[in-house]
Order: sequence, then C-alpha cells, then structure tokens
Amino acid sequence: MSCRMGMTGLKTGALSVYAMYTIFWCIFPHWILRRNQSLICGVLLGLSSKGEKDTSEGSSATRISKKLKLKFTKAWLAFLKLPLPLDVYKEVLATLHQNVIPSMSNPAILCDFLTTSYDIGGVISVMALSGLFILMTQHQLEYPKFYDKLYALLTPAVFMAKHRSVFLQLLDACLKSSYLQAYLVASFAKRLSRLTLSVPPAGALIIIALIHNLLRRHPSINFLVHWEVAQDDGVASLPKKIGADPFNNEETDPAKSGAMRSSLWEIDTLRHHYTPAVSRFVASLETDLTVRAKTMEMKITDFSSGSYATVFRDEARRRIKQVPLAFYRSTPTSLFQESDFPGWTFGCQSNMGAQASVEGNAVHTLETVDASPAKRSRV
Amino acid sequence: MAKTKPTAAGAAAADKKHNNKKKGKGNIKGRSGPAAVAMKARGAAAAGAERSNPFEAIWSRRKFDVLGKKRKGEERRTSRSRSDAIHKRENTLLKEFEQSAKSSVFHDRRIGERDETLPEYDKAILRQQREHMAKLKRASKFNLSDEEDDEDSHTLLGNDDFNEEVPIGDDSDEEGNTLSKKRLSLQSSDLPSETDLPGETHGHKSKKEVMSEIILKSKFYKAQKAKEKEEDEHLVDKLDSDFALLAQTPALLSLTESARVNTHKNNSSTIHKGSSGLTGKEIFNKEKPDAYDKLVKEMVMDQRARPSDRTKTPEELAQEEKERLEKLEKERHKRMLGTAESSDEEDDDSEDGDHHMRADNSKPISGDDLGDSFSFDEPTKRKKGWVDEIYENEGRKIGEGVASGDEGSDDSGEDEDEDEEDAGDEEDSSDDDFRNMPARDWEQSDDDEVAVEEDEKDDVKDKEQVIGEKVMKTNAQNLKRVSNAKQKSHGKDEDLPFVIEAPNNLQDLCSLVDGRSETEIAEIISRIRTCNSIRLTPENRKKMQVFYGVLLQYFAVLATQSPVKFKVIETLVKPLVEMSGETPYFAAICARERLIHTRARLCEDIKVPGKSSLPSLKTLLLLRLWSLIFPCSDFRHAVATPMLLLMCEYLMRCPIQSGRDAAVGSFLCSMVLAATKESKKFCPEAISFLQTLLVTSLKGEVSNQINDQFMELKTLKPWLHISEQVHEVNRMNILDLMSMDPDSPFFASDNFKAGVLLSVAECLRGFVIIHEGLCSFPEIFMPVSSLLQQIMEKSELPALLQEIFQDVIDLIKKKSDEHHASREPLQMRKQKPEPIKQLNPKFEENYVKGLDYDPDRERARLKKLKKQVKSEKRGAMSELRKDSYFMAAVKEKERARHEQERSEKYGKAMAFLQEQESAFKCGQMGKGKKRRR
Repeated sequence: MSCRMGMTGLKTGALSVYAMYTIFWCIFPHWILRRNQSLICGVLLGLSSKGEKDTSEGSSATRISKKLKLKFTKAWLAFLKLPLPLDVYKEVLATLHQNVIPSMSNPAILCDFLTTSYDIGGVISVMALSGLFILMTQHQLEYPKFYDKLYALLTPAVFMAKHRSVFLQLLDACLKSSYLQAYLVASFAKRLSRLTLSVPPAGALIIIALIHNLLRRHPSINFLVHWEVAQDDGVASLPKKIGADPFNNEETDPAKSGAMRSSLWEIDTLRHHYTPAVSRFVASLETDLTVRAKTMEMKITDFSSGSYATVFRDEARRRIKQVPLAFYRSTPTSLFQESDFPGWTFGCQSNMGAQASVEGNAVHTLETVDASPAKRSRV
Repeated sequence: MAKTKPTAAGAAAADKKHNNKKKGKGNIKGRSGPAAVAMKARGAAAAGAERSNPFEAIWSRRKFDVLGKKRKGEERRTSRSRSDAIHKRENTLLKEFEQSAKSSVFHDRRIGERDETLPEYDKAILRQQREHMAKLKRASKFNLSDEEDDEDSHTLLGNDDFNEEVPIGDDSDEEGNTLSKKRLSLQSSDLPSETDLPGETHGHKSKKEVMSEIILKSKFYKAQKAKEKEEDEHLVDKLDSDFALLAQTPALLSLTESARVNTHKNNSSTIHKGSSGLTGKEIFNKEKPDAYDKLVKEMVMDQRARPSDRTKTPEELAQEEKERLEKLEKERHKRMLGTAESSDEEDDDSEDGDHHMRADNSKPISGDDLGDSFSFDEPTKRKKGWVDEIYENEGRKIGEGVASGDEGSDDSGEDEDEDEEDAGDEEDSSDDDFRNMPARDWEQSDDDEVAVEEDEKDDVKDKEQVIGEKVMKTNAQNLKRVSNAKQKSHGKDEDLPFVIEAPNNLQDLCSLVDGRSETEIAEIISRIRTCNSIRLTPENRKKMQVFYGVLLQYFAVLATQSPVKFKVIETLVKPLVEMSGETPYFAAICARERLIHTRARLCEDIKVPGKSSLPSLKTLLLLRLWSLIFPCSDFRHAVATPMLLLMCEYLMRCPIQSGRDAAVGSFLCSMVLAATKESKKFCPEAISFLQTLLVTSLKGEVSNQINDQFMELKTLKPWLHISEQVHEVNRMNILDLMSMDPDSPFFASDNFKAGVLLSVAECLRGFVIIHEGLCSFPEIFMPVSSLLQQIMEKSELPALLQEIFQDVIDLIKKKSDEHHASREPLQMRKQKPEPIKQLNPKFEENYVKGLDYDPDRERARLKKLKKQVKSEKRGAMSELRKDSYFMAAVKEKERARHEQERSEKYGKAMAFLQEQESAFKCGQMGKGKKRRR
C-alpha cells in the first residue's frame, strides 16, 4: 500500500524526503519476501523513472534480481545525494549496514557517503562506523588513518549515545588484531581509562571489559597495569616515579599521546567507585593476562547493552538478605544538618524579618505560609 | 680323518655343553643338537612350571634369615631360561634366516593350522564341518549322499565314544592306584598305618565327624556356661558375706547413719579410732563425712536467697506502658461520661483515677523513654474539670459540624472523627472494653486490614500509594480546613486519646493528626507505637508495618503540599528511623519499591522535552530520609546502593532547563557528597555535574575541554552567569527554592546565582577532601581547577566567593602536587612472595626404598621414564647380542657341516687315490695279497 502511495506521491512530485525514506524502508522487506515479483520490479523501475517494464517480464529470474539490485543501488545513491535532514540521516546510517549493503550490487559505491559521514565526528561518525566496518572487512576498502579517527571518537558522549552498543562491539572488533602496534593499543587503553572518570557506571563496566581484552591480546602493553620491578640491584628496585601523567588526552594522534610512558591510574581509582559492580569488576584486571592459556576474553556483548536501567535493576532486584541500619547514638531528629550541607540552609524559624529585597517579587507566595520559611542567613 | 672328527664334535659340544656333556662324541650330530635341546626344553615346560628341574636351577644357600630382606633372584634357572631363549630364536630368527635366501614362502592355509592351540582332533572336526557345509551348499540334483562320508562321521563318532570312555579308564586307574597304595601299606607293615588313615577317613567319614565335632562343641560350651554361672554365684555369695563383715565396721556405719546422729557420735568415733588400729584409709573415710556434714548443716542453717526483682524484659516494659495508658484512657472516658450518668460511683472512680494519674505522673517512668512524651502542659490540662472538657468537646463538635456542612460529604476525615466521638459517647456506658471503643469505624476497617495483610507487602505499598495519591487532594483540602479550625480553636488544648489503634490508611492518620501541633503529633505517634508495640503480640508486627507504610506516605504527602510544613516533616523523622529499626525488612522493601517507582517516573519525565526531570522536593526529602535510615557507607546495601545510583542518574541524565534546576542539581550533589562522605566513594557523575554548573557560569564561550562533549546532552545556557557585582552572598534555602516557580524572576537574579555558586564551591571542596586519596586525583580535579580559574578571571564574583574559589583551587593544587610527587606506576598484579629456600632435611614416614619421593611430580615421572628407557635399551642390546651369538653359532655349525662333508669327500678321494697308487706300485698285487691275509 505504502508503495503505491509512494508511487502516487512521486508522480505528483510532492514527495518529501521523509516519505521517500519510508518508501525505501518498505521496499526492502517486500523485496526480500517476493524477490521475483515483477510488481516490485515495476515499482523500482518506476522510481528510477527510466522504466522499460516490458522487457523485464520476459527475462529470467536471475536477470531480474540483477537488474533489481542495480536499480536499487542507483535509487539509494540518488537518495543519499539529497540534502537529508538530521534525523533521517541518522536513521539511514543506523540501518544502512543491515538493510541496504547486503542487497547492493556494488557496496563500495557507498564508500564516499560513509567516509564523509565518518569524518563529521560525534554521534554521526559513531553510526557510520558500522557501515564502514562492513566495507572494510568484506569489500576491501582501505581507509587511511582509520584508527586515528576511531581514537578521536572516544568521548564521554559515546557512552550515553543511543547506538553505543553496536559501536562498542565494533570498537572491540577493530582492536581485535594482535598485529596492531603497541603504542596504538596503549593509547586506546589509556584514553578509555581516562573516560572512566566521567562516564556512567555501565560505561565503566564496558571500559574495563575492553581494556581487559586489549591487555590480553597485547601482552606488550601490560606495563600499563603492572610495572615490572627490576630485581637486579637495590637502587633500581624502587619503581620509577612518574609525576604528572605523561599521557596527553588532548592529543589527537595516538602516536604522540605518550601512553607508552603512562599507567592506568584511573582504573585503580575505579576501585572506589560507588557502584559495587564496577569496583568488583576492577579485580578482573588483576589476574595476569599475559598468560593466555589461563584467561578468557570477555564478551563485549554482555556489557555493551548496559545502562543505568540495567545497573539499577540488578541492584534493586537483588534479594534482600539482610538490612543493616545506620547506627545512631541518639536518633536524629532533623533531616538536614547544616554542617553536612555547607552552602545551604534549611531553617524555618531563623530571621523571619530579614527578607532580602531581592525576593520582594516572591514574597506573595511566601506570605501565605505562616510559620515557615525563612530566608537565607548570612554567611 | 681322525683329525677332523673331534673338531666337529667339539664345536657341537661347545654349543650344547651344559646339557649334553655326558653324551658320547660319536652320538652328537651337528643338526640334532639344537633339536634335542629344544625337545628337552619343551619337555621341561610340559613337565609343569610347578615342578622345577633341580638340574636346571642354580641357587645360593642362605646362611641366615634376614628379616624384611627381599629374596629375589636367589634361585635362578639359568639353563632353562637359556634354552627357552634358544628355542624362541629357533622359531623366529632361524626361520627368518632360512627364509632369507629363498624367494618363495610356504604358507600353510589348511583349516585350523593357523591356530596353534587347537589339537589335531578338533582340526579334523573343523575340516569335516567345512566339507559338509560345502556339500549342503552344492544344490545339485545329483547330490547323492556319500557312503564314505557317513563312514567317516561314524568313525569320528566312534572316536568320540572312545574318548568318552577315557575318563572311566582314568578312574579305574586312580582306583588302581589307591588299591596299590593300600596294598603297599598292607605290605609294608613297618610303616604306621595311622599316618595313612586320617587322610583316608577324612575323605570318607567327613560328615559323621563334623556332626560329632559339633555335638562336642555344644557340649563344651554348655559346660563352660554352667561353670561361669557357678562362679558368679560364688562371687555373689562371697560379696554378701564380705558386706556383712563390712557393715559391722564403724566406718561404714558412720557413712550410713544420718548426719545428725553422726555429729553426736563424732566424739565416740574418734575415740574409737584411737583405740582400734584402723588403717589410714579408713580414717580418711571417717573424717570426710564430718566435713561434709558440717557443710550440710551450715547450708540448712543458711537463709535461702530471695528472688530479687529481675530486670524487666522489653516486652514487659511495653506491656506495662500499654496498661498504664489504657488505664488512663479508661479514666478519661469515665470522666467524660460523668455528665451523662452523674452517678456517685463514677465520680468516685474518676476521683480515684485522678489520684492514680497524679501518682503516675509523679512516678518516674522506667524503661522506654516515653517519659518525655508527657509534655509539661499535660498535667495542667488534666487539672481542668471534666465539665470544661465536655463543653469544649461540644463546642468543637458544633464548629466542625458547621465546617463539614460547608465542605460536603467527601471530606471524610473529620466526620469520622466526629462519629467516633459520638459512638464513644453513646456506647461507653454499656461497653467495658475501652480499647475497641473509640473505633466503631475501625472495626470495619479491620476487615480491610485483614484483606491487606493477605496481600504481598509490595502490594500494600502500591495500594497505599494509589490511595495516597487519591487522598492527596482531599487531604490538602482537609489541611486547609484544619488550619481554619485551628484558628477557631486556637489556644484550646485538645486532649489526645491514650490508646490509639494504629491507622490502616492515610485517611485515618490524617484524621488523627489534623490540626495538631508538632509535639502532639510526636506524642500521637509514640502512643500508637507503645500501644501496638511489636513486642506485645506477633500480630502487631503486621499492624505496625502497615502503620509504617502509612507514616511514610504521610511524610511524602506532607512534602508535596505547597506550603511545606517542614517542622511536621522533621517530627516524623525520628519515629520513622526508629520504626525502621523494628522492621528493617519492611522498611527496605518500602524504600526499594519507592525507588523503583521514582526511577520509572524519571524515565518518563526525561522523554518529555521541556519538562524538568530533576527530583521534586518530596523525592529529595525521601532520599535524604533513607540515607539517614540506611547506612550509605556499606559496600553494597539493599537500599543505599540503588538510591545512590538513582541520585547519580538524576545528575547525569537530567538536562538543566532553568536556574531552579541548577540549584536542585547542586543540592543533589551535596546530598551525594553527604552520602559518600563516610566511605569516600567516587561518584563521577556528581563531579561532572558540578563542572557543568561551573561552565554555565561562564557566558557562552566554552573552553576546549573534553568533558564538554557531555554537555550536548544538557542545554547549556549561562544560568549562573553573574552579570553585575554582587556584594553579599547568602546561603540558599532549598525549601524556598523548591516551592518557587521555575520561571520566577528570582532565578535570574545575581543573588541567586551567587548562592548557587557558593554551594557548588562548597560541594567541590567537600569532594576534593574526600577524594584526595584517589590515584587519579589530578586528572579528576585539574580541569575543575582551571575552570574555576577562568571563572575568577572572567566574571565579577563577590569577594567571599572569590575567596572560596581560591581556597578550592589552592587545595586542588596542593593535593595534586602531592600526587605528582608521590605517584608510582601501577602494580596491580598480585605478586606471590617468593619463599626463602629451606635447607632443613625432609623426612618421609614409612619410607620405602624403591619409591620416588620427588615432590616435583613431573620430574619424578621423567626420571621413571628415563629409567625405563635405559633398562629397555639394555635389554634390547643384550637380546641383539644374543641374537648375533646365536646366528654366529648357527653359521659356524653350517660351516662345520660343510667342512666335514668336504673333508669326508677329500678323505674318500684321497683314500681312493692312495689305494690306486698303492695298487699301481705293487702291480695289482697288493690288494689281493692283503685280502688274502
């Protein structure tokens, strides 16, 4: 139905980009279901508006599908050339790798689109990564400075973004090769660990898992968590003191970040994280990951879908075994002790008259209250 | 000729010298030698392993038996093993050698030939079977049965018969043997026949003998038993007689006699002791009872300890307290009824009651600290006459009647109250049970309660929440009305009932509490708690749990009212904290459910753009209450952990959409700080939120910080940018802020901004102090510090704020410098401490010599394997050597045989030639001449 509507819309020429996107969205599943239906073929040919409907009917099934693919590709390319609004753009990026690339005749054509969107930065490049990853792994696309871009993508915002699950899995996949240089991996690890200082608990969990995998794949960067102490002579037995962290978080080039001289103090900081799950999980990095036989890689998929909701649910659904209560010598009678909250007052009784002139406009709301609110006391 | 023979014989003899020594030289033939040996070996093997040939064995005679010594290899059968080896070689190596020169091999593929274990006869059977089968298979019409075959089978059968007969023959042979033995024994009369007889009788008369043996045995046992019995009897008799003797002795008498008598006899016994030379032991026996008796006497004389007033258990205290309150309530009611009945008795009673009450009040109250609940004004209240009270009551009733008439029927609270009062008035005269009295309505609601109790606790909560929300509106109305009523009945003290049933829902509670002052509310709650103390009856637990839920709900409801009655809320804190101590599980479940609910609402709120999703005052107060009730410093707590998570989620996800949001967020940060202060937990959300707030104070220009990327989630407007010089900075009152409208112009004022900045700075200072021990302290706080620096440079802060900012900056700088100076690279991997090498010897218990006690199993295994390899190698080498010896011998034999043949031929030829020559020399005469001789 929507196809027909789209057709009519196309004919009238008043089709918005949104409508077009919905059409594309509809076409795909139909096509999969009834590949040989000439009806859809006709629709596609109609869309591309160069239709020779008569010839297609006589041709064999393979020729039809080939032609369909070609038309499909052309249509998509034409569509992507349009100036798309941001939400459609995001939607397209999110579904491109699933719905479009498999049924294109030559997916490498999408390379331009994907690389430009990958260069935009922020959430959009995060979303473009999945398409790009497919092109790189399955269609021999070579992308210069891929890892530099990936490195630049690692920001706190990623861990709050909607599509973080896919991105984080891809990140793990991209860093899977054990042929990556040590400095690169070290930079990634350090950058990720720096992120733990500002991401939510679920993000911290993923980062620990990612770093765990990195350390396991690359024994050469294990100095990040464990600095071997030279045992030879008494003077050198003390570990070298690094004052300020040599790692430069602002540096965009992983080669110059200085991660090779640093150490993952942030991970150690996470031991004091307020979420028990996180502080417990840090212990997984304590095992010697250079011994590959005794360790297992962590599955990023187990963590990548984590959010506040999952962490909260895990804690709130935990069985109550015991409920310790706070101990007071004398039971507190007030909610807020002013000594606990510097910079705030809670008094209702103090200096009733001393209302600042600033609140003159708010006074009418306050006057109805008989006993309460006191204004602020002088500091 | 004579020369050659000995050599050949010598070679053969050398080969077989060990067993063929005595054989004549002439008998030995090169070929027959090994065969003969083989025959012998086989014979030896056939003779049985059990019967060893003494000629084959070599043994060394032992002179001593050494205990525990392994006796291995003492008796060696060298010759036999050698012959075995040779035999084996003949079967294998020799065959191979013989085959080596030949290109064709003979395979015997006859049936049964492969299996060496089959005897000839079985082989024949197998062959015949096969033949038979083949014949049956041949399906031809000319297949006639062969007479010969039948005959063959017959012969076979005959064979079988013959075989079957064999055992009989054997038997007869055996019999013959025995017979011959008998005969032998008979013949040789010298030998004692007894030696033979038992062997024979054992075989024949075994059953009989066994039976007799059994009989013998049973007889023997019987006899033994009888003997034992007799002995026992003897012993008993002896003991009896002994005892009789003993009983006469004074020592025992003193023991058996009572203490009193004994004391009298004491002197005499001592005399007795002196006279009769008793043994030391007896003396001891005699003296001991004296001391004992003394003791007993003393004990009898001792006054028995009175049971003292024991310390009362909490249950009893609660019971007492409850009884006291009930009594008071009873009296109050009696006095109240006084006008209606006005009988003397009642008056007396009430007077009594007054006395009682006064006594009660004067009496120091023990146990629970309920004493404070009786405020000072109560005695004065009591002193009022009951008439006044009644008048007051009436007045109030009328007033309320008017009020309720205005409000209509839906405001139920006060009406209920009224009804109760009425009911009380009417029924008191007849009803003795005053506890149930004031609650005619509540009896109905008791049913509700039962229904509620059956539900899950969570359900209770949900239900209550629903009710609460429903009630909220009416409640607000009530409160308003109450405030009016309060104004009306201002100055008049309303008396509280002493026995208060725990309210089941919010309405009941409101009706109880409405219009009361804070102290009164506290009083009400404490009375409810004493009356329904959990310690009294187990059912009260349910009641109190419901009451706890209601109270919590009331707490929440109070927080939502537009003029917040903070004082009332604060009065609820103490009972709530204490009550959650009584029912911790229920409290935790309540808190959890509320948290989950709150989180769900947060998720909904965030989806709505433009709506402030930061927590309301109610949520804030509840969060604070829980952080008071439950310990936040626990590593993992059923309530505290989700609560902290929720607070941080607020900070992370909620956008700042107004100045009010900024203030609330800042307050939430300080609440997080208060919660994490104890355990010094690290909350990244709080710090980044504070950072965001600082950024909002910078106008527009956002510096190049990584953390800024977070802020795309939050709408960044310069909420806190101070435009004009502010002279004074005041602390903010959160309660005021919460009650204000988000759009109120106050939030745009510089005073407000300065106040928020102050709180932010104070909060930051708190976090800096908490987190000073964290490894990555500089990384966390250096951006904050630079931000503060920027703010100080760019905006005109009041002097106080500048001071605080500078303080914080200095603090951060100092701490991070410390960290920079002392920080070391991580060493997360646990290093196992290497043990010092121990040199003391290790001893094995029950050491066995051959075993390997190496603690390193791998090494031990390797050692064992090496040993095995070595021995195997040695064995293989010796085998090979022997093989080569054997082959050399075989070849030598062959060579010798050839030599002999050649020399024989040579001899023959030479003899022939010599003969010819001699004949030629003597001219054909020699021979004849010789023969003639």
